[in-house]
Amino acid sequence: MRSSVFQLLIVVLILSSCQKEKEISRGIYYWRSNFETNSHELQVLSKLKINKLYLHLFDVKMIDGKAVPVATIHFKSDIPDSLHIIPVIYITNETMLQLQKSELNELANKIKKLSNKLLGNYFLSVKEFQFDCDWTDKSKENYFYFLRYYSNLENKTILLSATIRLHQVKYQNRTGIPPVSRGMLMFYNMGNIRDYQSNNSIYNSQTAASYLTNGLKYPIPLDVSLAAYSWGILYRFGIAIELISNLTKEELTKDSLILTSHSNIYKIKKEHLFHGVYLQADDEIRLEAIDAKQMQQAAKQLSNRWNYKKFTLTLYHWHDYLFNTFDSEELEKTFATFN
Amino acid sequence: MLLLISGVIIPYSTPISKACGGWDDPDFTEILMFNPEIIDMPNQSPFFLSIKDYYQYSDYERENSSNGINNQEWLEYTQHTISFDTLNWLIYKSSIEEFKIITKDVNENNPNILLKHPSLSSFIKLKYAKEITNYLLAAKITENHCQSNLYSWEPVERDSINIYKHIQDLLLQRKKVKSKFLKQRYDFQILRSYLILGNNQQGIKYYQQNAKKNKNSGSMYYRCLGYYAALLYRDTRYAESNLIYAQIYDQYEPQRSDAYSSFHPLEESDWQQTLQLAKNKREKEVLWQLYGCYSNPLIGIQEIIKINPTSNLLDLLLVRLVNIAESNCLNNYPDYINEEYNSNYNSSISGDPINTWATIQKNQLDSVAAIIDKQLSNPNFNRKKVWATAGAFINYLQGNYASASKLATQYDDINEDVIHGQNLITQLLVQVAEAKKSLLIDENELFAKLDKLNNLKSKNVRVENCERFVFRQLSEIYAEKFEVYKSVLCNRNPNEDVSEVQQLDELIAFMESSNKSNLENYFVSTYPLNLQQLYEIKGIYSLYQYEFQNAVNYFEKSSASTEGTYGDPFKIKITDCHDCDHAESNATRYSRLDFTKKLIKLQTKAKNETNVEKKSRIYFEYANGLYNMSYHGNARSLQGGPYPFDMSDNLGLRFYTYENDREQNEDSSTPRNISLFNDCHEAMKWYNAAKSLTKDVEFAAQCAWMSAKCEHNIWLEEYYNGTNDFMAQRNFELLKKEYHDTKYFQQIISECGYFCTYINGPDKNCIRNK
Repeated sequence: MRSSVFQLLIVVLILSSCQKEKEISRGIYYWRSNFETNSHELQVLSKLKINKLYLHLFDVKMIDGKAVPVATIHFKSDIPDSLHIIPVIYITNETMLQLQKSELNELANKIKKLSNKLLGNYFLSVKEFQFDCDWTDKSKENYFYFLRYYSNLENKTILLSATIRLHQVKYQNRTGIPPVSRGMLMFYNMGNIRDYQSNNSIYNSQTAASYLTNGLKYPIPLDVSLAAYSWGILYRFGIAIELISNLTKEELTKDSLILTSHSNIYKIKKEHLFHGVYLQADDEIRLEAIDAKQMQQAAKQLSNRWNYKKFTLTLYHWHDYLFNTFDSEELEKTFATFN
Repeated sequence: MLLLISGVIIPYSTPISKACGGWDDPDFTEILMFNPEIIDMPNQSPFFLSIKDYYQYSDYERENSSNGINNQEWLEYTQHTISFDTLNWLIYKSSIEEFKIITKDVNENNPNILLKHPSLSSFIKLKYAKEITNYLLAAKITENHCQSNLYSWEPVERDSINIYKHIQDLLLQRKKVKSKFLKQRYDFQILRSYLILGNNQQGIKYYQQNAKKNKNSGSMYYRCLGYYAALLYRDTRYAESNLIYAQIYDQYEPQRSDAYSSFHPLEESDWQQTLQLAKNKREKEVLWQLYGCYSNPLIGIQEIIKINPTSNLLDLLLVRLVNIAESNCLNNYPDYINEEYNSNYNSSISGDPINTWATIQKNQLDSVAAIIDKQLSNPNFNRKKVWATAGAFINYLQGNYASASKLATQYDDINEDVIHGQNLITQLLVQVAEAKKSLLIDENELFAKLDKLNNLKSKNVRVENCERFVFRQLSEIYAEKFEVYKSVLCNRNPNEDVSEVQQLDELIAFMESSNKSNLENYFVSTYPLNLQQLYEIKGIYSLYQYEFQNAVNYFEKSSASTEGTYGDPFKIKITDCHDCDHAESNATRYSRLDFTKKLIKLQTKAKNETNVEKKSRIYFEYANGLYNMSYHGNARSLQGGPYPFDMSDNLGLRFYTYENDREQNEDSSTPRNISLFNDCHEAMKWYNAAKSLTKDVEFAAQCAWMSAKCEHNIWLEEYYNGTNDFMAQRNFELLKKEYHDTKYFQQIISECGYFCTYINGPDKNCIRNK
C-alpha cells in the first residue's frame, strides 16, 4: 500500500513538473502623438503591474506618391523606467501595395533611423519592435519582404513582432504568416463600421465566437490585446460618414441637441457642431464603447481558447477613457482571467 | 491600429488631404457636369468643391501670391536699389551660412562683398543696409526654428532654449531699429517664434501690445494677424480665432486659402460665440459663408439671405451646393475608374473630416429650388443668370424637367460661353431624361444639341462629362428599344461590347453600313474602337479559332495590324524560354498577318507533300506555330492588340495565368474550361500526327516530348490548384517506355529538372528543379 501511494506521489510530481507554469506579462498601448503622463495614470499602471509599453511612434502613409511619417510622437513627459518600451509603427496597407521592393528597403532604413532619433537613449533598452499593418493577400508579399528586410537591419537582440487581426488568423492560408518572432492578436475591430445594422464593431461576442470556433491555431507565438476604448460612428442617411474618436456616453447625453434613440444609438435633433464635426438633423451616432463587463467577457471568451503559456496581455489603449471608465480592480480581474 | 490615421489639428496649416492618395484621383472637374465656374469669381474659385485641398489652385500659386507681395514691399523699401531677382535670392533662396557672411561683410563695411555680390553695390550704400541684413539674418534663423516637421523623415528637433534666446534677440533688435517697416517684420518673426515655442499667452500678449497697432503695414498686418489667430486657437480661444480667420479670408487675398483651411469651429458654443463677436453684417455673412463650406451650404445660404439677400458671398455656396447634390444624386464616374477604385474613391470622400459631402440629398432639393425662385423674383438681385443656370440644373436633378428647361432658356446668355454651355447641358439632360420615360428620341434634335455643345468644348464647358452621362442613358434607352448597335455604341465599353462574337460581327456590319444618320455617325466617331480595330479583333478571334483564311481577310483589312512575334514562332526548344527566343538577334519575326499566312502555307505544303518524313517535319513546324501562339509559347503577344483596353475575358481569348485562377478549396476533380488562348490541344494533335508519320526515333522522341509538354500544359489549365505543379501524364510514360534509348531522351533529362526527377526519382541530383 505504502509503495503504491509512493508511486502515485511520484506520478503526480512528474505530471505537475511537466505542466509548464504560465508566464503572463502585462502591457498597454500608447497611441497618441503627444506622450504625456500624469501621476494617477502611472499609479494605476504600477498597481496593475503593467511593465510593457507598446509605444506608437508614427504612422507611415502614402502622400503624393511617397511614403511619409504621419502623427509622429512628441514627448512631453519622460517614459517611466518601470516600463519596457516596444516601439510600434503603423503602416497603411496602401503603402505596402504601392511600393516597389527597392523602395521598401529604403522605407525600412528610414523607419529605423527615425525611430532611433525619436527614442534617443530610450532606444538602448528596446528589446522588441512591432509593426502594425492590416495587410491582405495582395500586399503580403511586399509586407513580408519588408519585415524580413527590417529584421536583417536590426541587431539580433531585438525581437520583431507584428500585429495580427482576427481575419488574418481565420484566413491564414490566404493572408500568410508574417516572418516575425511573435504576433500581437488584436481581439477587437471585429465588425464593419460602415454597417449601419451592426451593434458594435469593436467587440461582439457572437462575431468573436465565429473566429474562435476552430480554436486559435497560429504558427507563431501570440500575445493578445484587448480593447479599452470608445468611438462614435456618424451615419447620415444610413451611410457612415465620420468617426468620432474617444467619444463617451456622458458627452453625448450632455448635448441637448442629441437624443438617445435606443441603446447605443443617438439621434441628432437639430444641426450643430460637435467635436469639430457637423451634425445634421436626423443624423445618427452609434456609440461603440467597451466597458468593464464587455472587456471581461472578451477576456473570458478568448482565455477558453488560449493555449499559449508565455505571452503578454495588453490593453488598447492609454487614454482618459481607460482610466475614467475602468477601475483597477476590474482591470486586475480581466488580467487574472488568463491565469 | 485604429481604422483612421491619427491626426492633429494644426491651425494655419495644410488641411488633411481628402484624396486617398497614391494615384492621381480625378477631381470633380472630371466627374461632374455642373461647372462652378459659371460664377466667374476668381477669388472664390479655390473653394469650389474639390477632392483636393483647393480647386485648381496650386501650392506654387499660393506661395507666389504671398511672397510676391512681400518682395514688392521690400523693393519699395530698398528704393529699388536691388533687382527683383537679387532680392528674391536674399529673402527666400540664400542659406543662413551665405547670409551670415553677407551680414558680416555689410556690418564691417568689407569692400570684398562686391567681388562676391556685385549686384549689391547700390544696396550697400543705403544707410540702413546694416539694419536690413541684420533683420534678414534674424528672419532666416526664425525660419530655421519654424521648419515644418510634417511628413519629414528627418524632423528637426525644436530647441526650446535656443528659440527662447532667439526671441530675446529679436526683441532687442526690434527695439534698436528705427524703421517702422523693420519693426513690423520683427513683430512677425517674434509671433512666429512664440507659436513654435508653444508660449501662446506670451505671443497673444505681444500681439495685443505691439503688432495690433500695425494697421497700415501692408502684408505684415495680416500675416501677424494670422499668427495671432493661430496663437488664440492653440490657447483654445476658438471663437476669437475663427473670427480672425474669417476676417483674413475676406480681406486679404494672399492669405485667403490658408485662413479658409484654418477656420475650424469645434463646438456649437464656439460657433455661436464667434457669431456674437462679429462686429458687422459683412463679418456675419463671411462667417456663414465659411460655415456653409465647412458644414452645410444650404444653411449658409439661408443665413446669409437673412442678413443680405443680394450678398455676393452667396454664389460660392450655391455652386458648392449644386456640385454636392450632383455628386450625391448621379453616378458619372469616368470609364477608367474600376469598381475597386470607385469604392476607394467613395470611402475617401466620406472619410473627409469636413463631412459637407453628405449634406445635400435629393429630398432636400425642393427647399433649394424655392430659395432660387425667391432670389430670381427679387428685383434688386443682379446675378440672375448664374442662379437661374444653377436652378435649371437643380430642377433637372429633382426631375422637374419643365421648370429645368424654362430656367435654362429664360436667363440664358449666348455671349457667356460657360453659362450658355451649362444651360445647353441641362437642356440635353432634360431631353434624354424625357426620352427615358417615353422611349422616344428626336435624333435630329439630339444631334443638334450635341453638335452645339461640342463647339463649346474649348470654352470651359464640361462637354466630356456630359457626353459620358448622356451616352450611358442613351445606351439604356436603345437597349429597351432593342436597337442593339446603338446601345452598344453608346455604352462605350469595348471590353463588354465585343465579348460576344455575334455582337462584334453586328458592330462591324453597322460601322460598315453607308446609310447612317448624323447621330449614328456621331456615335461611331466617338466610339473608343474604330472599324480597323474591330477588324483586328475579329482577325485575332479567327486566328485562335484556327480559321486562318478568315483571320487573314480581317488582318488585311485592318491597318492597325502591327503587333507581331518577338521571336521565331516556328522553332521550339526542350524547355520554354521566351526571353531567350526573343533575344535571338537572327530569329525570323512575323507580323500577325504573315504568321497566319505561314500557317496556311504549311497546311497547303503538308497537304501536297507525299514524302512522309518531310510531311512529318511540316506537321511539326506547324504544331510549333500553334504551340507558340498560345499562352505557353514565345508568340503569345499575337493575342495582344492595338486597342485601348485589354482583352481579358473577351471572345474566349482569356489572358490569365492559371496559377492565380484556382481557389485552394476549389473542387479539384472537375476540369476547368480552357480558354482559346491557353489551349494546347490543337498543337498536341499535330505533334502526334508528326510522330505517327516518322520512322526517325530521335525525331519521334522530339514529337513525343512536345506532346508531353502540351499534355502537361492542358493539365495545368484544367486541374492545377496552386500546390503541386507537376503531374506525369501519358506522354511522359511513353517517353520513358519507348524513347529511353534516344539521345534526345538524355538531352531532356539534362535540361528539364521535372522530367529528370520523374525518371530518376527525387534523390537524384537533377540540374534544375524545373
